[in-house]
Amino acid sequence: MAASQDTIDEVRSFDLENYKYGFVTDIESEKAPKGLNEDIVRFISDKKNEPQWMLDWRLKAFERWHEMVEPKWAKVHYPAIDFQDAYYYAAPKTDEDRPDSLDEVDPELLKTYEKLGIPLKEQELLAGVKNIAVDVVFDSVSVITTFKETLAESGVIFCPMSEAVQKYPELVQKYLGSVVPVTDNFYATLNSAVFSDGSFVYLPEGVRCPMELSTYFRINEAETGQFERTLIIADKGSYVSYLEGCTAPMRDENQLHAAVVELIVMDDAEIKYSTVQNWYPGDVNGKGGIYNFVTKRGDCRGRNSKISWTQVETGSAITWKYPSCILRGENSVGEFYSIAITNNYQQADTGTKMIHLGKNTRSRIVSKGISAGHAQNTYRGLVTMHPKAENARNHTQCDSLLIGDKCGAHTVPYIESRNPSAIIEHEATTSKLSEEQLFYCRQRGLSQEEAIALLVNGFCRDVLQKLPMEFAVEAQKLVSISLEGSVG
Amino acid sequence: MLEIKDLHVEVDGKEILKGLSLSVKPGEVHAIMGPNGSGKSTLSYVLAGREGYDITSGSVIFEGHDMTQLKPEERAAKGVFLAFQYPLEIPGVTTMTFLRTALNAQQKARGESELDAPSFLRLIREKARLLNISDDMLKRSLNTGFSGGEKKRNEILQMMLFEPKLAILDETDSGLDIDAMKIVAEGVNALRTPQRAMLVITHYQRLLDYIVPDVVHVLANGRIAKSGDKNLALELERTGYDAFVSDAVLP
Amino acid sequence: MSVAAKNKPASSLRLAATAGDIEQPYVDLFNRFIASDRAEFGGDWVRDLRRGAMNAFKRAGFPHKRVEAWKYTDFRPHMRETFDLPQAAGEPLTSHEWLSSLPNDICNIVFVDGHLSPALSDLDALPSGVEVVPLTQLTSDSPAWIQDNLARVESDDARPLIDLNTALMHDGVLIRVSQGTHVSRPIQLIFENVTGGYQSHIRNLLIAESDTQLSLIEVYLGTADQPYWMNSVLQIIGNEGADIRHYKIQSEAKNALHVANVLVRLEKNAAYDGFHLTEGAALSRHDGHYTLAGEGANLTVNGVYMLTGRQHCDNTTIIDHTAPQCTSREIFHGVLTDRSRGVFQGKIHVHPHAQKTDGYQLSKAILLSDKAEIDAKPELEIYADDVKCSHGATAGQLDEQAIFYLRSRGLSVAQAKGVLIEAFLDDVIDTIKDAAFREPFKQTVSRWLDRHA
Repeated sequence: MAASQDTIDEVRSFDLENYKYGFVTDIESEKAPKGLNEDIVRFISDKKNEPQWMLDWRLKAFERWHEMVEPKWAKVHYPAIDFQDAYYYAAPKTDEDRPDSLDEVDPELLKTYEKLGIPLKEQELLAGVKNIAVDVVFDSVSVITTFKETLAESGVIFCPMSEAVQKYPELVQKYLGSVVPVTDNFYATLNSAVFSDGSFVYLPEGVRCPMELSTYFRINEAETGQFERTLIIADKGSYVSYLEGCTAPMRDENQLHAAVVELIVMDDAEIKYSTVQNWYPGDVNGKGGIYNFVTKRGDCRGRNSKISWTQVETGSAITWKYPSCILRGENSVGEFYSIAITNNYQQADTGTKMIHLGKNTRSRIVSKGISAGHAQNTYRGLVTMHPKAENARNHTQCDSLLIGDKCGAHTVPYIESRNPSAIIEHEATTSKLSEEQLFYCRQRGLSQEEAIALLVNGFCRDVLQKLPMEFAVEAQKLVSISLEGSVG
Repeated sequence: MLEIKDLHVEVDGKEILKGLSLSVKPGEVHAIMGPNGSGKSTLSYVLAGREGYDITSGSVIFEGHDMTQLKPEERAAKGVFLAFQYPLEIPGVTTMTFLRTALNAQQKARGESELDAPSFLRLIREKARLLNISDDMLKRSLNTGFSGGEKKRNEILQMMLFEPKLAILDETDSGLDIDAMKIVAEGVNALRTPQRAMLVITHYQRLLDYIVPDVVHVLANGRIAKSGDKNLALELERTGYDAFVSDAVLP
Repeated sequence: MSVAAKNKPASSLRLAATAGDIEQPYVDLFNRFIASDRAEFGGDWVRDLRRGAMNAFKRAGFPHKRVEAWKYTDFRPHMRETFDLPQAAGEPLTSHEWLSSLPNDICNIVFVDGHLSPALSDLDALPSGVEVVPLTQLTSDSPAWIQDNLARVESDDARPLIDLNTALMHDGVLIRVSQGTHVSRPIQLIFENVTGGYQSHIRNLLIAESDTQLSLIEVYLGTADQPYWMNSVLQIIGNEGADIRHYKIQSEAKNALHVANVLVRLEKNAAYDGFHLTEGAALSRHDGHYTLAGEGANLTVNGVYMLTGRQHCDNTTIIDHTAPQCTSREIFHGVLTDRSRGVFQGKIHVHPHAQKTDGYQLSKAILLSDKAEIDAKPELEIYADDVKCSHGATAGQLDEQAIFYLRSRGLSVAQAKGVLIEAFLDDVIDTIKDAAFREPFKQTVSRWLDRHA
């Protein structure tokens, strides 16, 4: 049953109302009304011109969503979310919504861009200033065009999910929902019904992706990632390094973000997935920040396959994510490197799950949590060795750093072993920045803020080293900025 | 260069320095000796500006200006260097990175230009060689896993790098064997110039055989009990500190 | 910023005011019990205590695997069969290996099938400074140290098994050591379960006044063929400067269910050295809640467990650092064979003003068979910054290199493994402060190895 004509007419009339106040008529840019019901799901699918099978998939997910219960076990507290009081579809920004120039952009935002060392032209792009042709942003050669050409030559498919649904339906149908089943959890189900867009990457056999893929190149193409859906498939012997997010603080009127990322690696293939997340964390009193509930999972299906998750999380009012690896294939390897910083009133409950199913599988977890202000930072991890995980190995190191005495740092690891030859080693420590260390740095000429940044970056070194180069430099700056004002 | 007048300092509500006065001119090396608990470390921390060391009365004038309101990093930029008795470990931060960051911060505060990585590398290697510090040590996390001697040599390396106007060496010889102490003393002596002043704080006389002071002060009960030339140190070696502890009279 | 979520999940984890189907027979049992003579002792204040506890039990119901603290031990289904309270006591044991391995001169307090046996106990020959009041001799005039403390259960979460014990408690001892006493002989509580077919709710209390020193030993010996449920609650309060040693051996019968609820509260500069060994029962749960309430208190909770067959052993502890400058140490080593299952859940909770806390926790498990399972969850919840807290957990097998080395010196595979396992467990036994008790525990390990490894 397609979205009823009534609904479409009703939606159109909303925009027409606004037209009375002098906005330019533009039939193409339609906004669905608030709320979530079957009509909205159809509306979304219709706007994207999706084939029937995609719509059916969404509808089934939506049906299941009704039976599900919001999870409450994480150590995060937030006012109840009214799922009917949100928009689930917003057209790409029109020129009317965009600022004319950087002068119209929030000065706080600009200050952050500057501190992160983002060049002026890029700032314009990030802030959505109108009429910025993406290729003007970079040096004379149009980087994006070259980028697309290089990829095409190697056979790598990298496009928005909405495009993949049209152009590569067999691939999407085969793999979508195979790592994170539709009913996996409340937010994954919601995402499956209303996902907006995301990345689709397919690496053919034996192909080493010639450059790092970054969502940065997609910023101008699609709307903000409220319900991002990403699917990356690495066929036998292939390799890709994928970068998600950027250090620049991203604002969004949509408070709830529920993304789903699925990774699949076949024999001898590898995916390196790096994330730098700095969604708006709310003001110093914790009001208005974004809730980031993400389901990320990788399936090491092939022998000798490998997945690395590296993340630097400094934003969001609430972060709830556990990038995980299912270590199926013999000798497969899962890695998780994370820095999670919470300041002011932020709350993070994040970690990883390493599920060892196959022989000789290996996993390594290095988690650095830094808590300041009134924030709460929890590491929640699961390492499980199934009966058939002969000779599997895990090593976990979780370190927490507390800055100030009003915050909390918590560690909740679940360690389960059903195979006697599997070895699990877990260590966790908690510490603070010592006043003596800070004084030593200051006596050598560093200011209090500089000293904290130096000490914290030192604390996070093991993880920073795992990030792709450009990300690492930006991440270090981001770490310093996130802790501003943390020591009174 | 440094003029301390009747300084009273409290730590955790307890008065440690009870009217200390000291005057140091450029080019001079003053030794401060005293029994444990006399306030030697307190003096060095107060000069470096550590929080928790409260000046209740008295003054500290450095190069004609009141230094007491300045933050530790501001004093560093002005040329004050404290070689710690127990240098801190900073895991995850290499010696190289730490020193470059600190030097550039000081340059910036003074309005001077910062060094780029290659120039800094050249500079630090040159100085490191003089102290037998290998490239390898420079790449390790600051002081992490270093022996006592290595940490002290590292402090002297830093002193060479920052070229301070006033260097305060807080019990630089503690925990060192003779050979290590000689290397450290050589490094310190190489930095003696007519423009630079040094305060060498020590419990034992032997360091002063190698770093020969111009003036020796005995710090007891929170103030300077006696001052003299280098022979005073030898005398102390013979008699010990007892006489001073009982002699020093409170007003 | 802590606003409780308003949306309640559709499938509520808690039962309503009326009990569920498994709980109802226990409610009925309670109603019969409280009307009987057996529940007379103590009068009104005890009756009120019991009723309040039964209401709390009804609200929470038996714990099950969707309750976070019972995630790895689905307790509720085991409660389907409702036993009666212990009736007549059977014949006491004439001997037991543990008892014969003990140092001489111990003050024994013996229970047979849940009944205190004055004949077998040394109640008339207590060490000086020690006062013992059997639970059944509570009166409405029982002194403050009993009335105030018996009701005191500090916990943020519901504790239905403690509540059920409070409601149905039928025997036990309340011990008080007066100020300054260094108790000359260890006090040993022996619980012999020879008949089975009952649920036994024993309630014990120990008040160590300031500057005392004592050793309290708990011994659970089960020989009954019939299944039974031993549900004990032990409250320990260490006042300023008290030095308490508390050791336990759990050697219940193979069809038994054993739950030990231990609540320890330490005041300023008090010390607690705790150790327990688990080898018996089909299902056992040690539920320890340790509160460091006064500055400078010091706590050690160590243990070993040795499991075979389908045994399930759950060691769950919460160590609450509510005062500054306190130290806690927790080390558990376990050996699992056949299809047994070990669970370790240790939580260190450092409250906001508990600065200079020093907490350390280690869980190590060795799996000796393909079907054994270990689940560990060492948890840190930290709200103060000037603290030193760390934990470690390992799961694996015996070191191949070490086995090879021993074999190269002439030992057989079995002997080599035995040596290594023994060393692994003895390592923790060696931490026992009261040296006189190390040998008895080591001999217990030795005997277990002879039988099972």
